[in-house]
Amino acid sequence: MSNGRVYIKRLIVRSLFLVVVASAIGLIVNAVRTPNVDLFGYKPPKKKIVEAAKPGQEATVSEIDLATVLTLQKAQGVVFIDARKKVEFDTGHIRGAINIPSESFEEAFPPHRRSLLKAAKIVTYCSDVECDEAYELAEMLREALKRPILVFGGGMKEYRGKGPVEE
Amino acid sequence: MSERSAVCILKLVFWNRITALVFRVFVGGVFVYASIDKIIHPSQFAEMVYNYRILPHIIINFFAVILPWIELVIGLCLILGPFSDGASAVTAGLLVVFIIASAAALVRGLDISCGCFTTSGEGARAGWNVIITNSFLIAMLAQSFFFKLRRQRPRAEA
Repeated sequence: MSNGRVYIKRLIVRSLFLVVVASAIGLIVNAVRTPNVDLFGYKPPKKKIVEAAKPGQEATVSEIDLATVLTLQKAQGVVFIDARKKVEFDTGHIRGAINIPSESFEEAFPPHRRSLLKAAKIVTYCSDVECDEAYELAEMLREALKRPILVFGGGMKEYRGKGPVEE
Repeated sequence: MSERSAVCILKLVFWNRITALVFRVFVGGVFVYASIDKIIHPSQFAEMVYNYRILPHIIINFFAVILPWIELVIGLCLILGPFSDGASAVTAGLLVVFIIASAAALVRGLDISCGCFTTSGEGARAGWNVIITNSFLIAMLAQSFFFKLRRQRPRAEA
């Protein structure tokens, strides 16, 4: 075996050794410290509803939970927007929701612009907590409409069985 | 000044033992400093990791617990010397990962704290600043790593 190969092999072994040792120290320290962190149980932060931005105040994107979604469904003028692709939207969505896929925002958004400007509140969602489309769409809507947008992080996965679904 | 003499001066300044040592210790110091707040506040750091929206939720806490310790250990190795070549390789790998994460945040328009040195959320934003800084750190590491490698080779061949 050439010197170069031996060196690279040694380098990889040393690198892995350092990573394993450091990880082990981190895990041991986490196990003994109080309070410690639940290694595989991360829960995204839940933010409260932010009311419409006052003049001079910047519009925001905030996350809401299922209970708030169910409350907002009973309120007037709240628009729910499904950020998933049309195929997914057609398999079932929150009753009354419109579809603006984040990936085709440029084409899908303009027809809804006027109605969204009149909406009391706008809520975006996608499939579940793992998806990003709802956040991406919320950012684009915030930019385009200059108003606060709410994101239902749990998405359809959390909503199914809890509220009315339309197909 | 001719092009050749400029190259000679650059080589004299950047291709020597002292510069290699200073670069290595500097990068090590940056990593040790960066790890401290994250080790003290792992939950807040997990939120910083979450904000990038790259990792699945199930491994965010695990990553947030081990990453600061990896930074600390490789930082200390770079400063003190033992396993410095392995530490350089891991450090370069981490810096590339940080660059990719910042680029992803930039492309997706995320206005988030980079979580580089503080977990307070008020630190530097993830974006070009992180990409440029980390590129400089990689260049410093590369100088230190290849200088050491070049010095070792004649000995190994002899």
